[in-house]
Amino acid sequence: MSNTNNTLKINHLSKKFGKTIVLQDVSLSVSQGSTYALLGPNGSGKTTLLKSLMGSIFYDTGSVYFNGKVNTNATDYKKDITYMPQIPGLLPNLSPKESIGLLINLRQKEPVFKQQLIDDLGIKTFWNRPFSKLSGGMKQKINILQCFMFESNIIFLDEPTSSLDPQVASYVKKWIKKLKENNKTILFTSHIMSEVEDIADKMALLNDGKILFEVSPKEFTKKYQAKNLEEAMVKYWSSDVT
Amino acid sequence: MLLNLKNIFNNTIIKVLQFEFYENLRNKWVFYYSGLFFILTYLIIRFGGAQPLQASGSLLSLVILLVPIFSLIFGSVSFIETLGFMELMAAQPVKRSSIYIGKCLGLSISLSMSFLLGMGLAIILSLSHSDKGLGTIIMLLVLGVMLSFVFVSFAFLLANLSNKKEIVLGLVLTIWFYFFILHDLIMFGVVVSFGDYPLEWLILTMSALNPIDLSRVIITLHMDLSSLMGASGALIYNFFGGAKGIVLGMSMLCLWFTAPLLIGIKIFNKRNL
Repeated sequence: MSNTNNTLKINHLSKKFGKTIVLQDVSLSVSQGSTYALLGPNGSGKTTLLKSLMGSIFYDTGSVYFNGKVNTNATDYKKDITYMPQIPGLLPNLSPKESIGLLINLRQKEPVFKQQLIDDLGIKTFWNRPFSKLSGGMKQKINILQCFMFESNIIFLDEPTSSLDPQVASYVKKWIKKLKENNKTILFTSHIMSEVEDIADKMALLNDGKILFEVSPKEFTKKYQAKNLEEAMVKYWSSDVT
Repeated sequence: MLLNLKNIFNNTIIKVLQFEFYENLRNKWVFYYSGLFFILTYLIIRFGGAQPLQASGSLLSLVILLVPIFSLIFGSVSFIETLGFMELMAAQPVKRSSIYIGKCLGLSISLSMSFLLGMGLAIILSLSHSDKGLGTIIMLLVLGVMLSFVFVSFAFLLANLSNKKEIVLGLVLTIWFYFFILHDLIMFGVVVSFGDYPLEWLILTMSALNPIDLSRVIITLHMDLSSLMGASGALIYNFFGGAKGIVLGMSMLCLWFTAPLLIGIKIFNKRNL
């Protein structure tokens, strides 16, 4: 089974941690050049889903297709994918320059946007400082750099703008839009509805590991006759609860 | 075979190993470890009569006390604290096994260097006027390096079993307690209880099942003082002679490094990061 129209296709993915079901029969498709948002309350399974796609977490059942091919090779499919985790982790005593150097070495691909990101995000000032000595914001900038410096076709972002100051958050959103213009496929998680409204073509709402629905943010807002996505989401949860 | 040897030492392993080595070189605990070995070795030699053979026994006690416990604690904490970076490395198109081997070797080499620098420098400063017993001292240093590799490999295996630092540290201390104290007590109990029966092979096997005991036996055989080390040392000497016993003991230590490493890789390949 394959699907060539979709860059990413997930079929009936399930995952349990002990007795806790984290993902339950999750299926979705993301087409080439689109931006897809995964929404849901904390613990709904968003991060587990992203990590399952990256191979950091092993799913129990289901299948994942990248560009129509089933993901069976454990390393090759990652050549065209980059991932931004929620919490950035580099080697604590090495500088970002050194750790990023190792990641470039491992990927064996030219980091085409490295210098531009270093300049734009003001990374130069702490480029040679040990990672453990950096502030949360600085670490997040390094996280942005390691993800966006490669030109990849598929990008997974786990809450990309959380814990960023408004200026850097705006920069990240602009970068995502630029990637979209260049026909890149983006799957991201977020709790910020204005961000989803701004950049996502389609969104899925996850709850208790299940996808409740897939819809475009505009359609969803219209359906609930709300001013914006946030209000629509509040209305949805209120109606769902009652 | 679990792993294809041809693919083991690939570029990824070398790259990860190098960076892990640089990372640990800048770790203050690795520096303190080296300093502690320097001070204690210097004091033991200075106040132990400055006779290499006399000092060897005390230095051996120092090595088998400090190297396993430090390697276990430092190795497991380092593994857990860099899980985030391991996740990032695993997001690159590289094999997980290469990341694991590179990290394990890089950390083992860093700790071995730190140990060699601390103990070696103190020995050079204290014993430069005499070359008597130098072979034993070199053997002691080699054993310290081998124990570093063995217990880092163990630390990684144990750190693979849980994401919680407190659980891993509990496991690590239990393993250390077993190898350092409990195993000898069990052996002693067996000898006392069944002393009337032929226990040679049982005791030999039990010694081989403890890397700390093995180190004691190897150094004893090297110094030809097997009678001082009780039943196991004397038995190995009788069965295999000095050189054969040393080679056998060293091979067993290599196995003690390889077995936890291979089991650890198998677990790491299926572990959720």
